[in-house]
Amino acid sequence: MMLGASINHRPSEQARTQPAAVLEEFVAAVTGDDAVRAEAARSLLVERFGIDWLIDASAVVANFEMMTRLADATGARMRPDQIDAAAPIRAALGLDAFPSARR
Amino acid sequence: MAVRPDLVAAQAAAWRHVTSPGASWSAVERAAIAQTAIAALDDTDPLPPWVSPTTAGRATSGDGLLTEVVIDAVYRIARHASSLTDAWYQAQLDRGLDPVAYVEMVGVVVAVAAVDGFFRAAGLQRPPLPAAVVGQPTGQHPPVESATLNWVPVAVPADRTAAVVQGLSAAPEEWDNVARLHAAQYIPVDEMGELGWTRGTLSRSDMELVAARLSAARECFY
Repeated sequence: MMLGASINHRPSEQARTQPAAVLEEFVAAVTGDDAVRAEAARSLLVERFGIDWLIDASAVVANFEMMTRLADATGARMRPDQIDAAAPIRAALGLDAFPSARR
Repeated sequence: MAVRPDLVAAQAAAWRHVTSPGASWSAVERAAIAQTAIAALDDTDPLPPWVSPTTAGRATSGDGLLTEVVIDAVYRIARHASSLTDAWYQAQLDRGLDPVAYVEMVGVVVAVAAVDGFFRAAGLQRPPLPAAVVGQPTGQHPPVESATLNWVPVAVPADRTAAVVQGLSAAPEEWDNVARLHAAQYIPVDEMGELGWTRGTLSRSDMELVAARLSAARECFY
């Protein structure tokens, strides 16, 4: 059922352009304290991709506002093999310096 | 701005859920936890992680309904989750917080963070919490045990699933609420392996980009 839904929901033509920079600015702006920057980022997202993108990008933001707190408040740890496998990317991104680093 | 009906429904269900009786907390207590979390998220002059609202003399909506340890823990989770440590968690238990009740409390806070997060990101006005449903805690909990992958107790058997999935398993109704929100906000849990899944807007890689940037902004190692 859900697989069928996914097949029927192909990315739009707009979605096949490069939205990464717009989405990165959107997340940075709406998680910051600058209301003017946040409104500009929303406007750019809508202008480039449409209002449904603002809704769905905001929904993903909401999901990870939820899941990051869930992980950190329950002391979630990755398995040792996952920790080992992610060592290079952790080092590249500086993730080991996060206060929430549990290894 | 028209919000998807499935997302509206999940958010409305979450708001009803956090103001209804749970297994460890009454409806009134859960609503007070939710209001305390909202106040923390709305705080325009947030306290640093090492200062608690009760020691700072901040009045909160939980006053008179929740103990100080609960008010302080809710504020800290809502506002500074990445700063939490195993020692901090143990200190909450030492201050009298029951470990299974803690898990349910976390479920309420994270649901609030989700609904608030959507409206904050979209620049829309967050709907108010509904009035609390009259009701006492059910006292019904699954058998739990210690876990290797979480510092909270989890439903038996421990460590058979990912830590973030089993984290709320001691309070299964909270996980059900999170799963409903997860499906509407991001991807249904049973579609996680479908890398081409999309609603027709963001591609899966776009969603993962947003997820990664948000997680980095919140300094979430997991």
